[in-house]
Amino acid sequence: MKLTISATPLRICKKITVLIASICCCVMTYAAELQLKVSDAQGQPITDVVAALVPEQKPVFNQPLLASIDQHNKMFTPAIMAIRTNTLVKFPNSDDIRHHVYSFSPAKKFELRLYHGMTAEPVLFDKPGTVVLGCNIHDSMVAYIFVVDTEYYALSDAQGNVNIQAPAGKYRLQIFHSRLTTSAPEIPVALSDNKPLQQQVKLENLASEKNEKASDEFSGLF
Amino acid sequence: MYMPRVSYLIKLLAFLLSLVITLEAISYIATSVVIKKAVTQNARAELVAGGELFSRIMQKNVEQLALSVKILTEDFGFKDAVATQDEKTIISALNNHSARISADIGVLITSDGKLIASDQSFALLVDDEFSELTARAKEKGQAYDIVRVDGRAYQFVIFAVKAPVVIGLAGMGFEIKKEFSLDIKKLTGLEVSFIHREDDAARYLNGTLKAENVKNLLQQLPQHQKIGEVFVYDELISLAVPAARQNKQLLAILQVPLSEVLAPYSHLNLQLFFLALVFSLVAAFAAWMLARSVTKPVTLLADIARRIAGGFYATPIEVKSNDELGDLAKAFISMQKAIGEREQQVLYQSEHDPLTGLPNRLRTFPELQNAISRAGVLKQSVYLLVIDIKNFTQVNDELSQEIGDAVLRDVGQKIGRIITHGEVLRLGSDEFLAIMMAPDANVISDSVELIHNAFKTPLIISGIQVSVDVNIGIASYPMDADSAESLLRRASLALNEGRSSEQRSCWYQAGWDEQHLRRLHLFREFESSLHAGYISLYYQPKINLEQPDTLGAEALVRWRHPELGFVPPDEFIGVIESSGQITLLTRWVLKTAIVQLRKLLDEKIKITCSVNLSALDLLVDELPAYVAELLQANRVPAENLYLEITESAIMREADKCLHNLQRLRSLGVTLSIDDFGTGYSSLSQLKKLPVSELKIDKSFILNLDTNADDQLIVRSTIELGHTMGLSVTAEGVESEAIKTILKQYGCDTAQGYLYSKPLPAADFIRWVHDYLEELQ
Repeated sequence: MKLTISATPLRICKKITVLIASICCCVMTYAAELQLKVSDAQGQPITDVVAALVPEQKPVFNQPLLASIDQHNKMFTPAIMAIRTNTLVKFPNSDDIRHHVYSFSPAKKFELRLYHGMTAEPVLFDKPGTVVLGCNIHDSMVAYIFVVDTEYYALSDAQGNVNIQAPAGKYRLQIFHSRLTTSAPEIPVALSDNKPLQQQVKLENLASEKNEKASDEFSGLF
Repeated sequence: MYMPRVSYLIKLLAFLLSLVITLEAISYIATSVVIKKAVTQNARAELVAGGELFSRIMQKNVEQLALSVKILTEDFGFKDAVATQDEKTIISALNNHSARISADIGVLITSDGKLIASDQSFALLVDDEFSELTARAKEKGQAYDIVRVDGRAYQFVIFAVKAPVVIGLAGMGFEIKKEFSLDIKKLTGLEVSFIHREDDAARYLNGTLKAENVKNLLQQLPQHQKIGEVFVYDELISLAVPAARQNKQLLAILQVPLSEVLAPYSHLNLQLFFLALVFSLVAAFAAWMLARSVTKPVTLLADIARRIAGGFYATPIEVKSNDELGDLAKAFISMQKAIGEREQQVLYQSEHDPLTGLPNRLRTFPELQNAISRAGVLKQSVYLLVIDIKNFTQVNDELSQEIGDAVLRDVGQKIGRIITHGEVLRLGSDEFLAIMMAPDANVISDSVELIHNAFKTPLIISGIQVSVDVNIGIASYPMDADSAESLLRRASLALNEGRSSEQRSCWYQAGWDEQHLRRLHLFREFESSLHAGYISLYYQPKINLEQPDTLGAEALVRWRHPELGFVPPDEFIGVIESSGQITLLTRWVLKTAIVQLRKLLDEKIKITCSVNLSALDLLVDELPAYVAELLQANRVPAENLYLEITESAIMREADKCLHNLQRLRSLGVTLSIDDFGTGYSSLSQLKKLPVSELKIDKSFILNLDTNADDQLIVRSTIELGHTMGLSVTAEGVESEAIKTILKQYGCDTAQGYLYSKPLPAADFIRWVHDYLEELQ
């Protein structure tokens, strides 16, 4: 089973992350495969959808993994990332300004006070769930870390295709996306070795595409 | 029609004042109108500007709220509290931030819709309106509006709390309270009302209006739907502006009371009014001055005119102005002067004789009074000389009027030259007065003598010598008279006395005036006495010496006045002759005598009766007819009536007298010459008279027996009479001796006390009877 992490053209340059992911994922390959296509209510493919196959039997991850989200040009890179529970994520700061990374998400609440460069300690994400990252100084900086209790997960590409290879067995398919207003229901799936399971998922409850610029509701009222 | 007298001053004043007041009123009204219009327009503009200001204040509030809420939502701690749903912390944060900007409420809505508010009761009351706002905020990240919660209006701002995704909505609100309205009013100067309008019903949320105005506003509002347009009702200039963004039901009404707008104007109005008043007063004063400048000189001139009318011509008139009034005043001056001069002239002429230039009669009494009043002080006497040109009528008649005038002029001048210390006046036609003052009469006598001397040489007039003589009568004050009037009268009396007694100068003698006055009294009393019977006829018998039974009688007038007593005939006959009443008397006597004669004839007494005629009677042409009438009426034969006339009676107007005498004679009446021998009648004249009898005056008879002269006269007179064919009667026969002499001389008839004194009618009849009896 090959873990493919497809990056959007914008994010191609983030080689380090790719490398780390390759190191931990590419060592093993599995026979069974889930071929998932994600679209919205209108049937348009959705990119950056996290799909994770959580085995029936909850696995135990003793060895923490390493991951990193860089801050460059007042942006989190990558802005969307899926990790396995018990992963240490580093938040290096490539900008020449300081950032104050925080999260109030229940899955992982933390705060990295104003810092430069590599001075911040890595944060351990030990609980599954969605963690929204922000910078207290720069409101526009947002990053999503979807923490899943499995090693079998992937992000959809521009065509909304996600391929996950995993050992044959029964899983709960979990879908995550930054625009989902409510968590998507889990879908039980069974993978077998002989044939990849093809599945289509339509996501309702998607928040509309956010305007980058907030509307001004207060000027010229009267 | 009655026209009340309105002085020119009042008229002019009224005109000018009304002019000024009208102009003032017009300008005042015009100014008021313009100001009011401008002020009202200005008020509208102000209201619009106020609306603008109101909007800005509201905007400012919103911005303040927005800022505050933004700060709140960006606070890391707050985000933390929201993310962790730490309600207590959230509430305290809301309170804290609300307090910073004095917001009335702060809320937080969690991502799962829970509402946490700084005031928990608020949370329980929110309704759809608020939910709408939160929904909008959720969608847009922020929202503003005015919302109503439990009937209260709030300006509310809501922001999304992002960490960095939306984890809740935080909001803050200002309640639109009375204080808020008052603040806006303080800033804009406008009345502010917040109104909630739903369908047709409007609700007053808040504002600065008084309760009664609120009611009116709510009633008026539906009629003025248009927002942003100024409307006026109940003296309120109003403007409706939207208060909320979405909530179209919320309005703010901004108002300016017209009275408030007009308040400065009313002050200005008052100022204008006072200004107009002051100007009117000033104008009134100016008008008064102007009017007075016209009327004062006119009044002054009117006064002067009245003084001129009163005869005072010396009022000084000061001419100051060079205008028409000045001309008028100048005309007044010349008029006053001219009138004064003319009056002087008239007065002079009226008091002066144009011929001689001497003061005339009018000046007599003033001059006399003047002299008398000075006499007492100077202890001198006033002497009044009345000078009369003796022969002036003659000069006038024989020469000419012109020469007469020249004579008067010369005489006046001569007297004037002599009487240097005194006044000379011309009293009348040829009479002059000289008023002199002297301590005694000697000075006057000298002057009188000088006057007489002056006329010894004749006057030369136009080459003609005219001899002039004067009579002078003199009286003095206080010796002869005690007043100017009596002085003049007495001097005149003296003149008359002198004239009749042929004296050149005659001083007044005491008693003359009294005599004169008695004569006047007699004159006045005569006629009434005649009617009252105080005058009666007495009869004295005339006896024929040859035939004693041939009887005659002379009727004699007797006047017994109840006060004056017996008035002698000589006295009163003269008076009534001069007054012309003699004719009246003669007629009465004739009538009475003829009636008496009738009676005697009726008693078979053969008698004639003589009646005296006055000289004046002969001038009356009606007399013969009257006599004839009387005789006929009483059936008395004409031969029984004798009419006696005096010699002197025929002297004047001899022809006329003669004519009338002849007419009487032709009636058959016998005419006698009475008092013969006392007059100056010539024989030739006597010869012409149609008389039949001569009566010798008793002055020749009374002493006939002793006086040889009288005897000679009487005898020759009797002879003369007989020669001329006249019978002769002797009057005043008082003794038998005289009777004898007369009989001896051949006198025909005798009359006198020897027979009888004059007797009243009844006595006379008795006497006749006695006499006739005695004869037999």
